[in-house]
Amino acid sequence: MNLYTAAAKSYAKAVRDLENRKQPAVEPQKTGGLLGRNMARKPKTQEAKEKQPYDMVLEAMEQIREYRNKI
Amino acid sequence: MAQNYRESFNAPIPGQSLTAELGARPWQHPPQYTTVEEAMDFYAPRILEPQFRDNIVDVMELGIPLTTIANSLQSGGVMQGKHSIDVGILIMPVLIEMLSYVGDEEGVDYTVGTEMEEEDKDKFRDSTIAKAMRNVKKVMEEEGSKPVEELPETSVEEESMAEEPAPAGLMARRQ
Repeated sequence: MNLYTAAAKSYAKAVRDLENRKQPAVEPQKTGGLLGRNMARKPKTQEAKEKQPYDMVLEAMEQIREYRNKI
Repeated sequence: MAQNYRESFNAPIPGQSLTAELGARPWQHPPQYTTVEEAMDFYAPRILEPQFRDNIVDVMELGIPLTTIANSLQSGGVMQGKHSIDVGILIMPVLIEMLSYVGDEEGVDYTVGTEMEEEDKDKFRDSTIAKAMRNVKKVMEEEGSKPVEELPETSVEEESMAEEPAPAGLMARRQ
């Protein structure tokens, strides 16, 4: 296995993140108890909405994968 | 051992990086493309270029993993001062994906470089072989026969002397 190179590692991570991104995030159910907290998502700030370079990479990969699937 | 010496001679000499003036190398300047998008725009048309495709297909058919090719591509970009090494590492998955797209389109049976190597059942570990050898030696000692390693060795010279026929003919030396 060639997982020890940076290229292989970064590719494996990107593929994994791409798969995880496809699955919708499920909010954990509030079960109550002493540690019960409000798990509702906080409204995203403007700063968080800006795309990070890695998001661009994942988007580009997704686009190329779509083209690959068409072959 | 001799090979190790040869490899060490191929390594850069300590301080070699300081033999050129600072700023004389492309990677010592600010990179040309500073963002991931710019770097991807630089590579995408080049990878899809027909001549590059032909070359890359040849390399893929040789069995070179796509990760190695992508790594070489981005290292070349860094050395040319096109982008920083950070951007190179970031765009590597995109490069690999693009290369696999080219491979798919050309119908090449390529390896990505993240595959698990299949275990070769005919291949034994060195420790297993050593253990087996020890067992064989032990059994041979118990049976009373000499192990192969301890057989008296006849030198090559002696063997050749013994096998040589006696000189004959006009030109033969008399002893």
